[in-house]
Amino acid sequence: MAATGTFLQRCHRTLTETYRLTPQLTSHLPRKPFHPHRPRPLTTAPASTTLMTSFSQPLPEVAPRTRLTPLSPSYYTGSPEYYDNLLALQDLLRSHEALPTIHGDEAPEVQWKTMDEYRLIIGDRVKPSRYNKVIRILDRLNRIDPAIMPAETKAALALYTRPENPELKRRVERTVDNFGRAYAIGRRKTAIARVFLVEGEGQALVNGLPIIKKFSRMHDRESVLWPLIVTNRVDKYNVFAVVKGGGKTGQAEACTLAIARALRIHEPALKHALREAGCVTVDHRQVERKKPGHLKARKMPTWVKR
Amino acid sequence: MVNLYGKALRSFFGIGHNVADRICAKFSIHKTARISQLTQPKVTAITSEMTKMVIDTELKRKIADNVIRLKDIGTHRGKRHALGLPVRGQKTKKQIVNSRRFNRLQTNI
Amino acid sequence: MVSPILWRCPQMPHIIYPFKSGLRIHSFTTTSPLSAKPLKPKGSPPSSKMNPGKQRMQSSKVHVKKKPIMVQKPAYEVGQRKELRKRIVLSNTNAIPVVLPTMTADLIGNEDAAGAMFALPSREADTIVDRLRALEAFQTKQHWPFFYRPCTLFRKETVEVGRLLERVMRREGAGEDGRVNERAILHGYYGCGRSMLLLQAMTWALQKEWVVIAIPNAQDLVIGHTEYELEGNSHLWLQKAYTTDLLNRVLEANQKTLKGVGFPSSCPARAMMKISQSYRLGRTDEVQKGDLMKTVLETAVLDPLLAWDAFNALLGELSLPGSPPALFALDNLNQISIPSKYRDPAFNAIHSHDLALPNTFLAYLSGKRGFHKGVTLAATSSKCSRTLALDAALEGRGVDPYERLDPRIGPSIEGAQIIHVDSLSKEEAKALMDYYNESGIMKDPVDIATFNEKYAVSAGNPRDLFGACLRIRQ
Repeated sequence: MAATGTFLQRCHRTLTETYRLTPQLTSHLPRKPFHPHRPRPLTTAPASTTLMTSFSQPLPEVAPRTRLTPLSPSYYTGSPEYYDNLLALQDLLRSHEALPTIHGDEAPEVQWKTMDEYRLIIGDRVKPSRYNKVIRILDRLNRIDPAIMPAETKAALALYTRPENPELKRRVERTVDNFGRAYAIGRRKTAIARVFLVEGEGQALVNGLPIIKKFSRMHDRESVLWPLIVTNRVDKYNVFAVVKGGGKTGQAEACTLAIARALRIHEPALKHALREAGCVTVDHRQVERKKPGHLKARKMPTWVKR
Repeated sequence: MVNLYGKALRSFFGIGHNVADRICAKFSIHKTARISQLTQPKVTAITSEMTKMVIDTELKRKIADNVIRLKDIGTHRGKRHALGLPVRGQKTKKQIVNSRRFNRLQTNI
Repeated sequence: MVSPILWRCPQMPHIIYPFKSGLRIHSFTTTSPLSAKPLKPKGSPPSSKMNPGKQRMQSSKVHVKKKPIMVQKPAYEVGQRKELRKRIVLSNTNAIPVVLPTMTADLIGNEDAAGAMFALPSREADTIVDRLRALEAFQTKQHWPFFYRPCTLFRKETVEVGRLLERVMRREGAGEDGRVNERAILHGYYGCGRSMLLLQAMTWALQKEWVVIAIPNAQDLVIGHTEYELEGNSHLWLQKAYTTDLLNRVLEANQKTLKGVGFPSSCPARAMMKISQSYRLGRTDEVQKGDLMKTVLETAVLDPLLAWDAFNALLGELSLPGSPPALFALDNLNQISIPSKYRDPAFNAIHSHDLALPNTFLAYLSGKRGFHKGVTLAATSSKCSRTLALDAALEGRGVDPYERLDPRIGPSIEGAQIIHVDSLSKEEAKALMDYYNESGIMKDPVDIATFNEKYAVSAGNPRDLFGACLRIRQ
């Protein structure tokens, strides 16, 4: 396939010519076959030497252009290796943009090469933001429907995939235990909630108390039961939660997260509904620390001239 | 329609929340009572109670006398009063407006 | 089609909405006429076309800012704002009327009626609502202004309260002297409906021509806002002004009973309305045997100095054989379980139990005193500072030597039955929500999913259930 060839060639160039110390320039002069592994000095010498040294010989044909142009269009970006790579990926994406995609959750699970590994390929310090840019494109390519994914894309993605190591697999599949309980943990602010969710008729106990005694504010109660409310399963499950740390709001919202996670163990198909309702996303914000010289985290005392 | 606790009693120099509260308690008068609601014996009792107390002009004079006494016996406190400066060892670099206002030998009675 | 409901509700006059976010004011135009630009006066046509020079001159003048015209609001008269704040609106003609059976005295202790809504007797048929209003049984926090007429939910706790009345009427467990006294405390979480249960008990008692004495909010007794004075003999503090008010309410609510109307002439209760012995009123007055109780109370209402003695005379008469049954109710029991805001001459806080009225009520609650036939009913409140001693006593906890609890609280409620007012059951909540729906409170049609959501969020708490139903989700 021609297209496959093009991308791999470009990738090959970027991925193999990493040890080049000097920039590679190319002129449009007729020249000898170019050997990519040999460094070429940054000079216009070849043309002039010919002119200077061989007077006795007849002059060669006048070159149409004597200016040397860089081999890579990213030569002047400062990190041409990275940009060549990025441009190649972008081109690839552009050519396959119209292909049907699947939801991110359903896409085949892959682990991309880490930033350090990617740096080894590129041979230069790559900023995290630039690395993320590449990963974003790879994620998008990975979402192309696997049934019709072009071989070229598959081959390209393979270049950036880590070899699978089952021992390193981080996600452990949680299941409902022998008693029919689904167990999950949620955190918010400084509160930690542990929740056991069982099928039942809609009772909720938090720290052994009926929910109305634990959370006297209706808003907090709504927060706790929100995953069940949005999925219309309030009367299908019993909640047993143990919360510690934090205040009322933190505890309630920690419960939200834990219940949503536990509910997903019972019914994995609810994942989208829960995500839409904002129950799955972890809110990792914490109170910003107070600093010396400040009244609070950011507040400064009133400025006095003297 | 004057509230005894809130307005009437506390209009005197020397009677604040605490003293007014105690006077009311002494004669079993509740806090929202109006003067018009009081019985004559209670009004008389309060009046006689207040004649026994050192308040208003009398109290102001007493305070002034104390200050003059300090000055006369030549104490440091007396001097500071005379100069209109803080008496109790405060710094005088800034913020002594209140001292200038209040620390005098003769208070305006 | 919910729009007629929505158009109606916001037009209710003179109502203070307990939920600000609940209803939006709808008007038929989107622009308020007040905020519209004023029309230009017809007399001065625009001069810019005619004389542009003049226009320029005018604009170069210093612009004088016009003072906004202040519309002075009519000043409130003394007590007017308090009256507005305490105003009870019991019916709303914009709400949809719901046909419901009436809460009659036949239902006392009827288990089958539990879980259904009932309307309070309508005004045309009876004066019960007015009499309840006189007793201040309705409270501003109870959402009456949202409905066409006052209705209540018959709960399983209502059955229990009814049982108390029933036992007294049937004279179950009467002693040798024929006295029957039932004593109970309604206790539960915030907003669980204790005051409403008191209201239901009073409704039945009034229908059965009992004498109803009600202290609608015990807080008024202890916050130091009424007159007080020491009574030498009993070492109790009398609150004569408050007692006068109380007698006034009792008189108004029990007119019929005190006149003896509705009793057959052979009935001993009718005879009771005449005083059986002479009482001293105040220092000088005296009532003779054979005087009408009503006359005594009417005299006392006019003179606060006689009020306390007249109140005692009433209680004394109610403890004699042949007297009609009585209901003595008090709301916010917690308030009289903490030191009051009153001070004695030595500036010590007066214990609430040393105030004569709370003392008397607690004597009835703990069984030290009793009616010939009567129910003493108290309701706790959650809007009160910590009352650890009362909580301990209500839970029946033993004495913990490390806890410094007020030793007077425990004995004061000893022996009273504690009725735990629970959350609503699903059936009760469904009945209540159906009623809300039919009255036009709910925005969306109610289905089982909505019900499940509201029930879960409110955890079956009646106050929160109303809040959850009224709220319009954006």
